[in-house]
Amino acid sequence: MAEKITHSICVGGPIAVHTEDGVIRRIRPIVFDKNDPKGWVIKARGKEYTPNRKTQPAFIAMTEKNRVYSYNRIRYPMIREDFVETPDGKNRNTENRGKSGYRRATWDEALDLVAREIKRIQTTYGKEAVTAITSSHHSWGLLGYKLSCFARFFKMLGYTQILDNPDSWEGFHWGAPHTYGYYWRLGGPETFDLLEDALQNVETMIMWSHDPDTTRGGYAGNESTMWRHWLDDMGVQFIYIDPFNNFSSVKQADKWFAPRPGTDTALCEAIAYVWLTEGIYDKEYIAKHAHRFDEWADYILGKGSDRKPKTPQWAEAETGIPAADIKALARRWATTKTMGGCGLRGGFGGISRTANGTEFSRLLVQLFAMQGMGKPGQNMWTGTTGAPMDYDFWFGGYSDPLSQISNQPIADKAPVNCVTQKLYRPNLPDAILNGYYEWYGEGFCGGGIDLEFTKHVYPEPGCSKVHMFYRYGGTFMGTMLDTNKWVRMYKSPELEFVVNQDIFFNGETRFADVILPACTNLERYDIGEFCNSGNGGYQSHSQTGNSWQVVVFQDKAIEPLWESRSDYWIFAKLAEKLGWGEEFTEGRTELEWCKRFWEKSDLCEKISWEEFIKKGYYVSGVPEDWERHYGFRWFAEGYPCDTPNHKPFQEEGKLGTFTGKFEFVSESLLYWAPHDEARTPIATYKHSWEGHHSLKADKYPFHLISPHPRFDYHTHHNASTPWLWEIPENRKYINGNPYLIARIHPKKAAKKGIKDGDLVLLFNERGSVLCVARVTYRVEENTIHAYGSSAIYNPVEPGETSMDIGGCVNLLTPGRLIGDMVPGMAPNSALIDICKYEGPIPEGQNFEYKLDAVAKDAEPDTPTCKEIIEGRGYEKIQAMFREKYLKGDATK
Amino acid sequence: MSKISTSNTGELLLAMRKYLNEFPGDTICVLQIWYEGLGGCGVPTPADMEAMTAVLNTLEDWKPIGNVRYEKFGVQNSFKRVKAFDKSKFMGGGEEHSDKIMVQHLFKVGGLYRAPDDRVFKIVLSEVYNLRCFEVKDGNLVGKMIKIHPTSDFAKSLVEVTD
Repeated sequence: MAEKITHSICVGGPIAVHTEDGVIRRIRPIVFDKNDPKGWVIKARGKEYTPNRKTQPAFIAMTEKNRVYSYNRIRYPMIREDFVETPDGKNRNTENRGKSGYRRATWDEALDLVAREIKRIQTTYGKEAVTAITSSHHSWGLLGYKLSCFARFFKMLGYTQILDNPDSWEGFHWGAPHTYGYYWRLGGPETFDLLEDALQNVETMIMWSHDPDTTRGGYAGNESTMWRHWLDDMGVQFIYIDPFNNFSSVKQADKWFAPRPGTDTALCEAIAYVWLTEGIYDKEYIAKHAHRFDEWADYILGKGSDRKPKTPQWAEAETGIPAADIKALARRWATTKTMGGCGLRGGFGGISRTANGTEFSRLLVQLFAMQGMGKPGQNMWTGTTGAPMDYDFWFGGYSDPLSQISNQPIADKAPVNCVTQKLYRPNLPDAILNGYYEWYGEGFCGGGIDLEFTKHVYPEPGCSKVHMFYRYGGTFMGTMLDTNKWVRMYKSPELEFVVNQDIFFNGETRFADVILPACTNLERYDIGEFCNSGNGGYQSHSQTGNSWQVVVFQDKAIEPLWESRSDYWIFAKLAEKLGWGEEFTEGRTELEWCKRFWEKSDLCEKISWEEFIKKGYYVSGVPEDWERHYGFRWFAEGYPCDTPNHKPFQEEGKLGTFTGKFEFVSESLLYWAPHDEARTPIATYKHSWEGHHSLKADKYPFHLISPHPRFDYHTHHNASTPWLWEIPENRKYINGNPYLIARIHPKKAAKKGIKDGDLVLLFNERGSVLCVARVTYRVEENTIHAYGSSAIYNPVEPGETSMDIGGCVNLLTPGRLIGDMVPGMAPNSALIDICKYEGPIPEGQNFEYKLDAVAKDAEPDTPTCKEIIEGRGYEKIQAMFREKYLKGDATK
Repeated sequence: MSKISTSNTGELLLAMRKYLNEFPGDTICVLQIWYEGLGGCGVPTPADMEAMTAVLNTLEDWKPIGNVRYEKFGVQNSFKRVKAFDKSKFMGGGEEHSDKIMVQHLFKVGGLYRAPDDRVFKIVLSEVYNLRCFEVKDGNLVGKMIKIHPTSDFAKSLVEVTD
């Protein structure tokens, strides 16, 4: 019995993988050895703080073993059983997508079909008739990542690109730059070295729409959990503001405020009112650094055009928070050194994904500005970023153009997409179904404020519509809006051909004509840095959310299971069939591509390639006397910017706004969008187009909030990891289906006759989702809380817009974007009703029969999906692969 | 409106000269002058724009170069400094914090720069204290990533390739 230890990274963080006889036995954090560098030491308030000598991944990373051998792995290439390859693309039974079963195909058969269809469609309609998109963060590693091999393939092919929207922080992206610039950080604040600042100075933390133990600083796992404990231990007061008394809040909050969903902007205005009337803000700072503050103050005080003072009493009526509490919050914030912000890195959070998202984000920045943002202990920082780091060491992150095989210098030749036509992800179904769509903005607008205002139209004049859709990884059913629209889109004959390349048989995978099985990170080579989303890409130095900077050689722990293959292999083979395989690979193997990332970064100066792949990881230490570059300090103190941002406009001590100051009346909005009703020059509280003031509230009286999930990462773990279903706060397994937990306040539950553990139907005019009720005082009275990003989508009638039992609450969220000129999505502005469900429920999840049929056909002895789930996952499968390994069958 | 009346040509000229003398860049549009140099509030009127453009046209240090895109302002009619701005005053000067100036921002990310030995470098990243470049040969990025300290003599010797 030979044990092998390899290393990898997933969205939950870096892991060490123990393998015995070709089978994964154990997953654990990486524990550093004596040769790895010392950790940083922060001296604060008479103590010294230093991190543990190991990586601290999230618990989802520890479930990777369960996920690799999951019941819903796609084992073989598959073709929809009633798909007909008609020469003109018509009469292909597209109405059966989602419903039909599949037959097993060989790789050659599947890839030949895909290649033929690409050629036919591009010859018939033009290059732009093919479109493709990946999900968010579908796997980690610079080679396999969506911006790397996927981008290389499709740029070489030529295709209609689908622009991503910043779906985790819409309000900050489309709003905050109009108050403080930082569009190159996509609206987020800079938080360099603020951990030390906080430990030394802060007295109060405002955790607004923020659950750091759940969202984990993005990809930083549990690295920052200890930092917040340190702050707690030294007596820092934590104030949580969230309609849900979230998991971090119940553990840590000194005070929990529960505003009615979507009214947080009113709370901001009332806090400002208290500060203005009591004179408790930094007047000197404002005089120096603010633009048109007095006009804004007039609005808050009721001297503006609406003549309505934004008093705490006024805000109480909107938010449900007592006026006395609002005053107390405002006074505490103003009279102690206060840091805070919204969501996982300070500029995220569920409230930024509401109809008021941009206005809230702008007001939050303005509040921090009023208290002297950038002075010691006064800043936007939410306890999840800003650890010391050696800025002299550079290794690329996934969004960094320098770290993608679609670009130089990693590739010798960088392909350029020859198609200019674009689509926009949130409204893709509208564009396909209606044949026309218009929108503003370039998706991610880190390249300039002006990019928010470019107008797009689909189809672009002179261009064809799209007729082929290539989906790659994950499922948008659980992350996009009003997602029954996606069901209707897939059934449209406009889409003559649909390909899905994925590891798991996800909700969206089941709508494809051809399914190509990719393997997991643990079955292929790659390379990547823990929590580095790209320095110079967009969110600079996200790896300061870690205590350690760790680059990992993502070694292959086992060979790809069944007939799955790496994403790179799939694209390379397809390129070969299209006649440009050599150009795609440049003659390199996957391992040779990995070496290019080492060679073109500072890593090659620190460790040899041989040593790196042998050890499996490299830890970059922080010099004992590291140089501090405190976020915003340069601006507060009026010296030239010294923070390691990657854009100009700061060299003279200016912000990235039109005036270089905090704009309380936005000049950029006056210039670019003076008539925009959703995002006015003065950020104001506006009644939501789907909120408690709208007519719809009479029929659907509950606000549904569906924040980023605690038991998943987007849609990547829950569906494929039955271990997670054993967590009572996550799901309840009934009749072979894992029902999602939905939380309701006891008072409203009593009125509805709902008891804890009952099956309940969440519904509105867009759809219905069956969940299990958790009756709890942890939610605001008018709120239903159910985590979004459900990886599981199980309509009772497969392929139809029927009741879902998978907990896919995004079916209920509005397709409407924040505003006509603000193309951000607002899933947390959703009204629903709820009732006890006493109807029939199906046996199982309504899709396993499709996988079981193909699997049994190939291997009659293989266990069924249900057997794998209820046998706790994978033992039988592992035994099968151990046997193959020992026979030598699986050794390639 | 702005703190300076654009209809008072003399006052406008003085204010614009003062701002432009301290402006460290080499390309500018009237919108930037309006907001940053004149303390403008609200969108300048066509008359304001014309007045500022007229002043710029009289300045011998600046020449019109047509449309240029700005990340904040979009595409704007622009002017370029005739004589390159003296970067050396930002490089390692004696003033407080001058050693922390991100002078690499005086180099354009994505820009090409020629060294005295005729090698051409493309700036691919600018972070604290390091310009990061690759050498460019036959239009391609080649070799290893090179770090250049932005206040070094080598950095000062780099000349932007504009053709």
